[in-house]
Order: sequence, then structure tokens, then C-alpha cells
Amino acid sequence: MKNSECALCDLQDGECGRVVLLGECGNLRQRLLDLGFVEGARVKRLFSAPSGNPAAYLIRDAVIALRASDAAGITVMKYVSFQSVTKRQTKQEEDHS
Amino acid sequence: MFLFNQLPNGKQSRKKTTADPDGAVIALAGNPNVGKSTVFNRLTGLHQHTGNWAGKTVSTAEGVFLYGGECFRVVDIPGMYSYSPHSAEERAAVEFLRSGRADAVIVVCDAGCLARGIGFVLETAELTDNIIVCVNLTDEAESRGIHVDTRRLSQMLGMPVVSASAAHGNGMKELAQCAARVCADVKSGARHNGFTVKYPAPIEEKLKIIESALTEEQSQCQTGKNPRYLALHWLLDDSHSRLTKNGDSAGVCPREWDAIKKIVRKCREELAEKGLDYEKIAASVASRRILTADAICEQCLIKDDGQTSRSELDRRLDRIFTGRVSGRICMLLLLCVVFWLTITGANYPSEWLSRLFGGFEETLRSWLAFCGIPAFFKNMLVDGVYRVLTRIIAVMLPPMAIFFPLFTLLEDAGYLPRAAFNLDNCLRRCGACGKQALTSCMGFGCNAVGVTGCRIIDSPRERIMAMVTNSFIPCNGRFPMLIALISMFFLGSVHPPLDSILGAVLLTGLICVGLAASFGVSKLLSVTLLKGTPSSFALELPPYRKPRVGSVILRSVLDRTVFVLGRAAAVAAPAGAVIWIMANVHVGGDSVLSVICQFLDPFGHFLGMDGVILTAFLLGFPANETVIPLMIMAYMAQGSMSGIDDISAIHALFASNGWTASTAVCTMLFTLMHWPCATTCLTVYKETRSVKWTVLSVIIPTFTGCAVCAAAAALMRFF
Repeated sequence: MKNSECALCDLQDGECGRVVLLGECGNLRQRLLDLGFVEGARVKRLFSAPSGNPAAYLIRDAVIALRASDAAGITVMKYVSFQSVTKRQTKQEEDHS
Repeated sequence: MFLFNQLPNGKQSRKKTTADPDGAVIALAGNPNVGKSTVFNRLTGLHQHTGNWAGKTVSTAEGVFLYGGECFRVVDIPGMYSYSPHSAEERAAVEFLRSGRADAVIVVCDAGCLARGIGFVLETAELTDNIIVCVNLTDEAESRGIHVDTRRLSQMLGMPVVSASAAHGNGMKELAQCAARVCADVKSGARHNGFTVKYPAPIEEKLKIIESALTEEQSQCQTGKNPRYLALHWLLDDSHSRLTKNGDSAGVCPREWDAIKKIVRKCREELAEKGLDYEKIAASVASRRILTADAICEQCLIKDDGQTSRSELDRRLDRIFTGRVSGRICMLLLLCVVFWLTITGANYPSEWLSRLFGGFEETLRSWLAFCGIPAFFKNMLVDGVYRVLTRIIAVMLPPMAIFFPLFTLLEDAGYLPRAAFNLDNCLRRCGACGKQALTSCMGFGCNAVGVTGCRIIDSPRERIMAMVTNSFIPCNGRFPMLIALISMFFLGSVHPPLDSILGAVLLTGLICVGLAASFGVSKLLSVTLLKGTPSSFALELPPYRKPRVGSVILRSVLDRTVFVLGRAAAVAAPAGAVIWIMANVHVGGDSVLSVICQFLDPFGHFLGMDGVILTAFLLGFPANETVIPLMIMAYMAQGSMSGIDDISAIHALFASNGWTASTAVCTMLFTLMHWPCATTCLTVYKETRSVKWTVLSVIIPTFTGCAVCAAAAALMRFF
């Protein structure tokens, strides 16, 4: 399984990731935090607008559209699918306990 | 459907409830688009407008409900994601909750997105202990395989939790009962045990320090606010500008600011030494709250395995509505279909109403004569007031009453945010906000409501841009005009049923011209008067919902009809009287009206129209619906025609006054782009508090319209 860090906007439609860092997002920072883009949050890019920008992301059961320039400030760890994220999470939790 | 209970700033509704100032005040708060207004409507029996998108409610509304013989005041406030507001409407909501005017708060959550809702509950719990949690939309969540264990949730939060599905009225009685109980407890002074989120130790430590300092100040100032909330607020608020401007929201007397500020600064410095700078504190507080909410939800949510089917359906619909090609086609097609239904459907009632009113005219005339009313007044009442009034009802009302419900259906289904999503890229390039597409859509209903709706746009420059360009979208009072002109001049030789299809296509084309103009002007503004980079934008795309067709149609047809009738009586009737007087008071042989028309004639011709048309537009300033009836009247006053009772007769009248297809094109373009109506201008002023932008919002569309019309007229003369 290939894991790599990238900006949220670099995810392809259908790809998932886990938020690593919420960087420079200007005045949107607090809003992104409120929406759930906190460290460790799972996020999935669902689909894009006809022109490719903005894109819609699934976060905390809600679909949020973000422009590429705003999503660029969020660094994510890319996973192959949601399922693998869950597996990894459970494994981590087991390790903890 | 807009405008009625939802007057900008909700003053009207507030008046209603001051009758009972003693009733406990209950606020309805929560994330956007969780159904607060629907709960409000169910509780109070009012008809606050609802729609399936975040930001529908931009002003507070108040209502009353009775429970157990007691009267409770409910306040519906705009939705918000947290207590750090971004836009004007959220700021109003936050300020309302902070002001402590509410005795209890009902936090409405979406069962399908519970974790985020609980996060908001936790944040609210820092402010007040008197919370009732309403888990709404449970039916929708269950169809997605999500069940909420409300009893467990209530135990964990230490707050009453009510499961509801407000759209169907389920759980409303329990909610009212819970709210009444909590209010009674508030009155008797019993305290509820709220839930407190534990933040990381270093932050907790500093919170305690600030808290104790604040408690000291509070005992002197008696602001009576939760010190823990205030402490967090002081620690987190980056700029104290808002606080210093409004001491009330900080909960500290002005003279104590410096003392508190010093303590807060010291705390921040100490935290920064530990590697917790301001941004990290904010992130850590938010993330702790979220983790707590997630942990609570995990224990209260029961998810079925087959849960994905509904979301799958949503994604499939999204693929169609936002697809690279299909997304754009769908947008145009939906507009086209809505217009086609409007044009086809409006024909019959229009004809029927015209005939009815035409038949009644003679009767009215003879009645008035019988009552002994002098001829001058009789003619003014019949030829002026009655005719303008009835033409508005016959020609303008049916398209409005059909278009509006259809549009509401799209809104309720959740399509509007998708349209904004599709159009965002264009708007971004024009230096505008994607939410401008939403406010433009509101403009279809009424430009004044569209302008008020601009509160959802965060950045002031983008907000002004959206306000100024809103009038390029033909409101409900203007597009029946477009429909009438199209069907008079461009569909004559086309046979049904093709004519209505062609009409819809032409109308869609015109709307696109209006949209293009609004984009172009936005771009122009963003490089001249409103320079700046496009700000960030986060738009929630709600799940698709099946609209409640029957009730939506009934409600919005009624609302629209009452609204149009009210406006016709208030504005069109006097306008009819004025223009009749102008046509019948003579100055040196010519009537005042013809003097004005002749004066404007050269300019009118330059724009491809004539003096009468321009005069009608000018007189139509109070309400655009009156323009066509006024034109008819002005032409009839000049000629000697009578008995205009259907669209072909109007066509004949216009043609005999020198109208050609090119006149119609220019008039339609001018309809699309001219000064906004009086109500809209007033709303722009109310929203911006700036004379400059109010004047510009008149000048810019007018200038654009004149330029476009002159160019079109010159082109058509050339060919």
C-alpha cells in the first residue's frame, strides 16, 4: 500500500486521505476547523465541478465544496480507500491498548 | 415565497411578539441547513421560508407557541458552524446567542451528520446550561441506515434530547414539552448540569486563570455571563477589535479591558513558550471538541450495513448534475423546462383572467356612474387604476404564480448549491464568490431578497459585488414581461406546441445574457472599484431531498398571489392613477404624458426603443410589474383604441405604435438591465449603509443597459 503526503487539492476524485496539517488557509482556517478539518480527520474527495475547480469533499458525513486554492493549504496523508484507513485506524487503536 | 415573514432584519415579526414581553425566549440554533426554520414553523405555525441549502435564513424571526397555557417566544436565527462567525448573518446569530436574550436554546442537529451537530452543542454548552438538543431529520437518517439512540445521547450530554422529523411534524410535541420544562427550571433557578469539554492541560490551566480574573470583574459589572465561555473567547479571539467595539459581547466593562488584556496576553505568551501559538491553540481547541463529539456519537449511533444506498444515489445524481458536460447541460435544461412549464401554464389563466376583467369593466363603469361619481374620477378609476391593476393580475400574475413554485421545488430538492458549485469557477475568475450564484438565484424571486441574501457572502467586497450585480437577474416582476414580449414578437408564426418550447429557449438565452452581464460587471468591478483577490469559499452541498410537492406548490402559489396582489394594490393602483392624470392633464394642447414621451423620444430611439417605453420604465421604478400595463396605457391615451383584453390585441397596439422585432429585442435587453426597483434600492442602502454603493447599484446596471441597447439597436439598424 502506497502512502504519501500531498495537498488536499491533489487528491483525485474518489481518493481518501487523513488530514496531517492545516497550513496557511487565510481567513478560512477557523471555518475549516469548524467543519472538521482537524489533524487526523478522514476526508474523501468525491467529485469536481465541470471545470475541475472547486471540488467536493466528504468530511464528517457532510459534503463540502472547496476551491483548489483553499484546499492547497491542507496537507493530507493519501490512502487507497476509506476501508484501508479504517483498518489502519483499528490497528493503531489495538496497538495503543 | 420570499419577503413575507422574512422582511430584512425581521423587524415586522419582532413587533408582533412584544405583546407578551414576559414569555420565556427560546432560541433555535444549530448548523446551517439542519431544519431550524422547519422546526420553527412547526412550533409556531408560521410560514418562515425554508430551502435545502445552507444560508437560506439570513435574518432572525420570532414567533410564539403555547404549551400548558404558557406562552413561549421562539427565535429562529441563521445557521452557524461555530461561534467564530464568518459572514454577516452568522455574526448576527452569534451575537444574539451571546447577548443572553434567550432563556433557553434549542440546538437543532441533523441526525445524518450528528457528530458535527454535537460539536456545536458542546460549544453552546460553554455559553449556557439551558440547552435542549433536537435531533432532526431522523427519518432521512433512518433511510440511510443511521439510528440515533437519543436516551443514551441525553445521558452522555446531561441535556434533554428530542428525536424529531420536523418536516413531518414528528417529535414537535415532545420538543415543546422539553423546552417548557427547561424554561420552567430556568425561572425557578434550578441549574442543569451541562457538559464541559476538557481541553488539553496547558490550555485548561490558562483558562482557569482568565476565568478567575473575569469572575472578579463580573462581580463588579454584573454582566452575568458564563466565565468559562468568556475566558475561552478571550484566549481565542485573535483581534480584540470586535470586543473593544462592543464591550457587551466581551462581557467585561470597558474600564476593565486593559487589566484582562494584560492577563490574556501573559497567558498567550506562556502558551507560546510551550510551542502553542495562537493557531495551534485554536486547532487544539477545535480538535478536542470534535474528538469529544465523535466519541459521544460513536456510542449513540447505530449504523446498518446497507447504509450506503442513499448516499450512493446522491453521488450518482451529483455525477449528472455536476458532470463535465452533463452538469452544464442540466443547468440550461432545467431552466428551459421551468420556463416552458411557466409559459405553457400561464397562457390559460392569463386569457381567462383578461376576459373576466374585460367583461367586468363596463359593469364597473355603470356602477360608478350610478353612484354619481364625476366623470373625471370615474375615468381615472376605470381607465387608470382598474386597468393597470387588472392587467398586472392578468398578464403578470400567472407566470409568477407558476414559476415560483417550480423554482421552490428545485430549491427544496437541493439543486441550488450544485448550480453555485458549477458556476464557482466562472465567478472566481471574475473575482467574485461562488455563493453569488445562490444570491442570483434568489434574485429570480425578488431582487430585494437576493440583495438581503448576500449576507451569506463573507468578504465585504464580494458581497457588494453580488448586491450591485443582482439586478441583472430578472426578478419575478420582470420576466413575465420578457415572456409577454417574446410571445408577442417571436412566436407569432410558430405553431403550438413548438411555440412554447421556442419561447422557453429564447427566455433561457436572455437569462444567460443577464448572467453574462452580471459576470462581466463583477469582473469589471473587481479590477476597478472593488480590487482584491477572490477570498476563500466553503460551500456545503446538502443531500438531495424529495420536496413535499403538494404543500410547496400550495404554499408558494398562495404566497406569491397574495404578495403580487398586495403590491399591485399598494404600488400599481397609484401608478395607474398618476399616469392617467398625466395623460389627461393638458399643458398647452399636449398632455403631460405626451410631453414627457416626446422629450424622451430621441433618447429612446437611440436605444432602439421610444419615449413611451422609457417613460413606462421610469414610472415603473416603484414596481417593475407595472411597466407593460403603463406602456399600454400610454399608447392608448395617445391613440383611441379600447378593449385590450388579450396578448394579440396588445401586440396589435404595440405594432401600430411602430414596434418591430428590434424594438422588442431592445426593450427586453433594457428590461434585463436597467435600474433596480425602489424596494431593491432601499434594501441595498439598508444592507450597505452606503449612499455611494446605492447610487452605483442604480448607475451601473442602467449604464450597462443603455450601452447594450444602443449597440444592439445600431447593429440591427445596420442589417
